Amino acid sequence: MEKWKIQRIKEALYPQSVAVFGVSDAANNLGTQVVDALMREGFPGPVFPIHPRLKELLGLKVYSGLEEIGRPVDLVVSGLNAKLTTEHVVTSCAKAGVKGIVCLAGGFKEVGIEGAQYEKRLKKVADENHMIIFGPNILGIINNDRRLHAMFWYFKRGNPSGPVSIVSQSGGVACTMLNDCIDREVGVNKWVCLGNRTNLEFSDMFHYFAEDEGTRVVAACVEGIEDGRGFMEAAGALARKKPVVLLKAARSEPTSIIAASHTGTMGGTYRIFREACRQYGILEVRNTKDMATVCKALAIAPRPRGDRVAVLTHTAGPSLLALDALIENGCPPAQTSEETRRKVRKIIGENIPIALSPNPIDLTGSGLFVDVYPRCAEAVLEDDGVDMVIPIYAIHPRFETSARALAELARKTSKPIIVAILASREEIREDEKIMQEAGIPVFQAPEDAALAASYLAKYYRFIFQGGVDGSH
Amino acid sequence: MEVIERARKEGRKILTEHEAKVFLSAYDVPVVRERLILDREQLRDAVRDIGFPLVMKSCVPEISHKSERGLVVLDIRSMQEAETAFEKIVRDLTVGTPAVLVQEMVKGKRELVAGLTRDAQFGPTVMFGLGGIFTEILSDVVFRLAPFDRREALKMIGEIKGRKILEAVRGMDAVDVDILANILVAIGEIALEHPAISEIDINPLIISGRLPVAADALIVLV
Repeated sequence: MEKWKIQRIKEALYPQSVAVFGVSDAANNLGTQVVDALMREGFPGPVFPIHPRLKELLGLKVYSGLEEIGRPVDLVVSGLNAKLTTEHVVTSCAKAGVKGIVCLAGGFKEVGIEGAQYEKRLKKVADENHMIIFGPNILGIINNDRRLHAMFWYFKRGNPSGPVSIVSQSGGVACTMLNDCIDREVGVNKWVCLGNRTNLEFSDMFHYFAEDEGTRVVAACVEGIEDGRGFMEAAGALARKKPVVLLKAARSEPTSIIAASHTGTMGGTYRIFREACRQYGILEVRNTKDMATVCKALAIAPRPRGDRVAVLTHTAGPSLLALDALIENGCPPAQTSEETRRKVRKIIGENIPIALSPNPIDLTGSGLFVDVYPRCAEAVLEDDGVDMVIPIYAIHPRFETSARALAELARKTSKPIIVAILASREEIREDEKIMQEAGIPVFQAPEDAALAASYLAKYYRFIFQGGVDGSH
Repeated sequence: MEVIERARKEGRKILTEHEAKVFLSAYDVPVVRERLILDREQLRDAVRDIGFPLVMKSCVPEISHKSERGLVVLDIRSMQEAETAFEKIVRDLTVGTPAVLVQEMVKGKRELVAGLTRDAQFGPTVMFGLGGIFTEILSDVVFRLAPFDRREALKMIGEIKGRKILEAVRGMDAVDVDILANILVAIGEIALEHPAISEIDINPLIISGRLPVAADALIVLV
């Protein structure tokens, strides 16, 4: 890894100004959409559209070239095709001392010999002049920490900043993952598409994320890589500082071959990839939904000091699903002590006809009372044999929920609390906000809460015991 | 290592089974006791040395899948059986010199596999799992990028689905996992020290009592 790259990544992700090549007055033009997205998402610095003849675009002055701007430009987005990007944009960026270039167009190494020639030249000029190339063949990049949306897309419902950073070979997977995060009320910090990876590799981004203050969790979406070992070593080094959650596409042989025509790299031996993840402490998931779930938990909850999870509920079935999911994800359920159960019994009253098991702690109907449920949660959290608690509850229109009390509890304890609320997205929103501010990740499905807890446990095992997983 | 140089000089890409075991022994990988004989005169001596029951196989670099070709005779219990086996192997041999391995027959119901491959993306990768016919049928194997330490090797051993087979089950002793771990670490070291080796396949690695012993081994050169 070259040192200059990390510096350039930072400069390109926090630009003072952005210039955009390949704009026109046609509304669906690629470059024009980039300018539109930059403005809509509120990029705080100047945006310079570049076109040889156009005078004005979306209320902005259009420049004939970088030299006309008369001040340094940190980041350039090129919406031009492979030929023009290579022959014109990159050389003029080199001359102007640009730090990074976002190359949107395809038509490079993924399409054949001629494209590969362009890419080679692109790389040569960029390397010689110490410029970072994002792409080519990507949707763009986002840094919500600077309201930078250098992409030909924008998000109507808003895209708030948060602690999860995403790096992805595929733009489509990166978009899906971003949406899954927004759906789960966890914000994304940096969002970087790598596409063909001309002179910017996963490993460079891993080095960058290790130092990036805004990033607490890294999500990496991979299709195929040539240097698997370099990838794993860089990801492993990052994983010792921050959790790395990984999604591998092209896991099967047929999709592995297709991957080559997508970003120009074969998918490779998944079997070895998967086990190398285990070896290097990288947390593998199977889809973007699980990825967002796991990232959310790692971003919001405190780090556990053990891997024993207790489930608290007032309805039995969902708690069993949660326990199933825990066990299936290699997380043996906690065994609460008799003393804890005595405490719980005292809180719910001796007259309630229930048999308390060590795990789950099922309070049945009495768990609907806001003066019972959180106190029982506290009793379970105080158990020395419990490292994390999953409280499950439903929202009943006549009962106040325990959200506030659980949030209070979270502020007092160092053990992670991961809540599952059995209600619609709309209904849980208020409770979710209250609890997430206190460090409680909230999910709708008990299985998701359990998956989240099991990954907190995996990361704990990696950091404290030198192992991610002892199970399949 | 001289066995590698010799094979290279002879233009071979595969070490003979005997060469492979000599090589592995140098890395403290336990291998079965065996003697290589080149003619019938040496047979009696070798048999006396190894003792019954024993196994005889052809030891010719050109031939793999020896058992499928009938070039392996198991469970030989007398001198007469040994002589018959020798004749059969030499007769069935269609290529190469008539080199025959006389080997102790290791008793053990549990068969494991350990090996090395060089992956295009990940480089040297050590493999461990259930051996014998189960390698192909169950594919219960795990991988690690080499090199790695004993702790990682122990984790690896604990990751096969059939890991219970390593415990004290059905009257069998628990496997000495420390020695097993040493073997895996050693394979990783070999990978780094010998770029000339592209592949190692120790299968079966038979559990005899508590101890793993390489009953067959294949080493392929780059």
